[in-house]
Amino acid sequence: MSFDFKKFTNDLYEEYKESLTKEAVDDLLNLNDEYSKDTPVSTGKRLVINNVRIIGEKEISPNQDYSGAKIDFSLPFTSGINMLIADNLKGKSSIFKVIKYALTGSNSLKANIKKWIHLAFVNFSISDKKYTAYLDLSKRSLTAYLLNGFISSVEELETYSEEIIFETNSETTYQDRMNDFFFNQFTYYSLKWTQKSSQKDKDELLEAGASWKTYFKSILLESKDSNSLMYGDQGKKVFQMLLGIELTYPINRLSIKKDMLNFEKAKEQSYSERQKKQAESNLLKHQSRLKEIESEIKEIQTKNNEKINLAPIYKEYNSTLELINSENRKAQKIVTDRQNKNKELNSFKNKQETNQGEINRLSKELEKLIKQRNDLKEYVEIGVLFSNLDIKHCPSCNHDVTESQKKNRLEEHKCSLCGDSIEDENHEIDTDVYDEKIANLELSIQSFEKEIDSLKVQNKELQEYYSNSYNELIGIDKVADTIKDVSSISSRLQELEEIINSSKTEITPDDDKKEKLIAERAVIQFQIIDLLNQKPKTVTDYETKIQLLNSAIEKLSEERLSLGARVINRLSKLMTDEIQALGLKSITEVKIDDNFEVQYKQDNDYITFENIAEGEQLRAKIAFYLSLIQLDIEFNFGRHTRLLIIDSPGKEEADKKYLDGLSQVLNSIDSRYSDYLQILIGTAERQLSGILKNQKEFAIDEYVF
Amino acid sequence: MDENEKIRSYKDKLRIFLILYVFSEPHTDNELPNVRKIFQSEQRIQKIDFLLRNPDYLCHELLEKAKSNISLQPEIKAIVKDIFASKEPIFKRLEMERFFFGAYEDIDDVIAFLKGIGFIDFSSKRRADLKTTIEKKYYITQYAIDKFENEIESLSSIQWYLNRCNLIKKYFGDLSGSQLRISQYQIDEYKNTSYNEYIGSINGIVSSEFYNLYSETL
Repeated sequence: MSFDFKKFTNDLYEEYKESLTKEAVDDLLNLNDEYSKDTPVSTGKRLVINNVRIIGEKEISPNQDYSGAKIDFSLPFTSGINMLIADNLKGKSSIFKVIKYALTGSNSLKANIKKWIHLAFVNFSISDKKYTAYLDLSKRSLTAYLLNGFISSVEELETYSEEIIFETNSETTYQDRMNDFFFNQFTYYSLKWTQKSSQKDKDELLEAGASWKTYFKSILLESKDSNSLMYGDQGKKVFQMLLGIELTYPINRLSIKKDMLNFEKAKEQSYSERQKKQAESNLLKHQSRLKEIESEIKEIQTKNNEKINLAPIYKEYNSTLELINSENRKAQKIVTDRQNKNKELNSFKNKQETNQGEINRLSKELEKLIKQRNDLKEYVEIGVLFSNLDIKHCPSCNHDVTESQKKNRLEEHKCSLCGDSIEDENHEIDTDVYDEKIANLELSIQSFEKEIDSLKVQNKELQEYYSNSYNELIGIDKVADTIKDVSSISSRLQELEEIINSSKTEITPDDDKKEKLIAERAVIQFQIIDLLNQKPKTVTDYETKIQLLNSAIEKLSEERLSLGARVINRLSKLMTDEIQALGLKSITEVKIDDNFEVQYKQDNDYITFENIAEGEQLRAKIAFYLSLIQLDIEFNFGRHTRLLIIDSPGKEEADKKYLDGLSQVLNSIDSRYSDYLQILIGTAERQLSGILKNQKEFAIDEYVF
Repeated sequence: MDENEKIRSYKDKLRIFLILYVFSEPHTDNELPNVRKIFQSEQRIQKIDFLLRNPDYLCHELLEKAKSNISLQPEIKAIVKDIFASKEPIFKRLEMERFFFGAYEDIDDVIAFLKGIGFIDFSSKRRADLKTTIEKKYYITQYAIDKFENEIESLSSIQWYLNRCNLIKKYFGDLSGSQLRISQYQIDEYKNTSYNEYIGSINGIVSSEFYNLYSETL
C-alpha cells in the first residue's frame, strides 16, 4: 500500500496551518488507521444458489383454480446460467424474492403470496462451503436459521440441529445476522452516506450506511430498477464496494464528515442568521425599554422631589427626641434629688424627733427633780418648823402634855405621847443633809437643763438644716417647673413619627420600583452592550474544516484514481467490450470518472446511463455487472459475489434484435464462465427457451409453484 | 418613814392647817376659850384640798366659772395662764385617792396631829338622823394664829399655799363641800377614776377649754 497517511496529513496541515492547528487537522482526518481498509484484490469467493424449496398452502379462493392447493416446490440451480421460463404472474419473481428473503432477511414478496409460503429452504454455497437459509413463515413473526450444509426439510433440521449457525426470531435480527455473515464472507463494509432525518421537525443529518441488503441489489437485478444502472447514490456506493479500490473508505468517511460539517455550517448559518435577526430585534426592544425605564426613573425622581422633604422632619424628630430625653433626664434627676432631699429631711426630722423624745424624757426627769427639790426646800423651810412644834396635848384624850413629861420622855428616847421607844429613829431633821441633797438636785437640774438646752439647740439647728433642705426641695420643685411639658412634646414627636411613617409608606413602593428599574436598566444596558459586541458567529471555522476535508477528499480521490486506475481502466475496457458484444455498437467507449460515474461515449458525447435509449439500458446494465464479474474472474479484482439474478430482462426490450443479442451474450457467458459464475434468469420470453442447457420451462399458464 | 413619806406627811399637815386657817370664820366659844376661828365639815376640807393639789382641776373649775360669768373671764384667763406657765399642774400636783364621796383621803391623823400641837380643836356630832353623816367642826386656836403670824406666814415657801387658798376662797369660798363635789363630778376623768386609783391629769381638757374660751393656747 503506497498511501502515506503521515505525509498526507502533514501536507494538508501545511496548507491550512494558518487557520487550523495540527491537532485539528489530525482530528479531522483521523479515521482510526482505516485508510488502508480497502483492497481491490478479490477474495476469490463466489456465491452459488443450489436449491430452493418452498412448502406451503395456497389460499382458499373459490374463484381461483389453485384454491387451497398444497405447495411443495423444489428447484435446483447449478453453476452458470439457469434459465427459468414461465408466463408472467406465475411465480418466477416470487422464487427470486424467496431467495432474496432467505439471504438478506428482507422481504419483498407480495403479501398474499407470503401467506402461502409456510417454510422455505434455500441451499447456497460460498466457494465450496454449503449453507442453508431456512425460513419458517408459518407464524406471525419470522423464525429463521442459517445452517451449515444443505437441508430441505424440518426433519433434517432436527437431525442437523448441531449445524445451526444461528437462529433468529425476528426479521430485523435475521437481517443483521445475515448482514454480518455476508460482510464477513466478502469483506464488505458499510459505505456511508448522509440523509436528512425522516422526521420533519428534526433538524439533523443522519448517517446511513450500505448494508448487505443494499449490496444485494448488485445481485438481484429487478425489472423495476431497469432504467437506472445503479440504485441512486447508494448504487455508487455499491459500485465502489464492489470495486474495492484503495482509499474508498477514507474518502467515504471524510465525505460524510464534510457533509456533516456542511450541514452544521448551514444550520449554524441559518441559526446565526436567525440569531442576528433576533439580536437586532432584541436590540431594538432593549433600546426602547431602556428609554421607557429612563423616563420612568425620571418620573419617580421628580415625584420624590415633589414629596415632603423628610430631612427637616427627621431633624426635628431627632431634636424633639433629644429634648424629651434631656427633659426626662432632668425629671429623673429631679426625682432623684427630691428623693435625696426628702431622705435628708426625714433624717433631720427623725433626729429632731429623737431629740425631742430625749428632751421630753429629760424634761420629765427634770420635772421630777425640780419637784423633788421644791419639796425638799419647802420641807426644809416649813417641815422642820412643823416637826419641831411641841406636842401640847393628846389628840385623843385632850390632856396636856407637860414640859417635864416631854423632857423625861426625850431623855428616855420615848414618844412624849404614846411613850414608845424612839431611840433608833432620827426625829431630828438634819437640815444639812437636806441642803446637800437640794444642792445635788440643783446640780442635776442644771445638767438636765443644759442637756435639754443643747438638744433644743440641736433641734433648732436641725430645724435650720431642715428648712434649708426644704428650701432646696422647693428649689428642686422650681426646677421641675422649668421642665417642659413632655406630654405636649411627646405628642409632637408622635405627630412627626406619623408624618415620617406615612411618608415612608408613600415613598417605599416608588423606591422599590425605582430600584427595580435601576436594576433592570443595568441588565438591559449590559445586554445592549453584549448585543453590540456580539459578532455574528463566523462560519469560517466550518469553512476551513470543510475546505480541508475537500482538499483531503480531492487528494485522496486523485490518489485513488491513480491507485485504482488499472482496475478502472480494465473495467472500462471490459464494459465497452461487453456493451458492444450485447449489440450496442453506438457506444464506443465506457469511462468511469473519479466520482464513479459511468459515462458512455456515444457519438463523441459522454452520456450517463439514464440518457441511454430505454431499449438499450438493460444491455448496458447487464454489461456493467458482467464486466464486474469478469474483472474478478479475469483479473482477480473486485468483490462481486459472481451471482446475478436477472428478473424479466426482456420485458421492455423484447425486440428480436435484442433477444438475439441477449441469447448470444448468455451463450457466450455460459460457455466462457459457467464454472465461475451463476446467473439466474427468469423470463416469460419463450424465444429464449432452448439456448441454454440449464433451463426450466413451465408450460403456458403453468404455475411455477 | 422614808423621805418622801415624811414630806408627804408634812405637806398634808401644812395644807390641812392652811385650809382650816384661811377658810375658817372668826368664832368665839365659851366652852372653848382658846379658839378664835371655826371651820365646818370635813368634806369641805377634802374638796378644797383637791383643788389645791390639782391645779389643772382648779383651772377647769375656774374656766367653768368664766364661761358663766363673762366679767371674770379676763382675770381667770390670767390666772389659768399663770398656773400653766409655772407648770403648776406638774410641780404642784399631788395625787390623791378617791374615796366614797369624791376625792378623799383619811385626814384623821393630820387632824390629830394638829390638835396635838395645839393648833386646832375639833368636835364631831352625829346628825339628827343618826346615820353615817357626822358633822365635824374645826377650831383654830390663838396659839396657832400667833405661831402662824409670827413664824410661818413670812416663810417664802408658804406664799404659794396662801395665795392659792385665797384664790380658791375668792372664787369658791362660798361653796359648800357638796357643791364642790357636784362640780368635780362633772369632769369625766374624775368620775371615771375608780376606787383607789389616782385621778389622772386633765391638762389637755383644760387646754382645749381655754382655747375655746380665749382663742389662745396655753
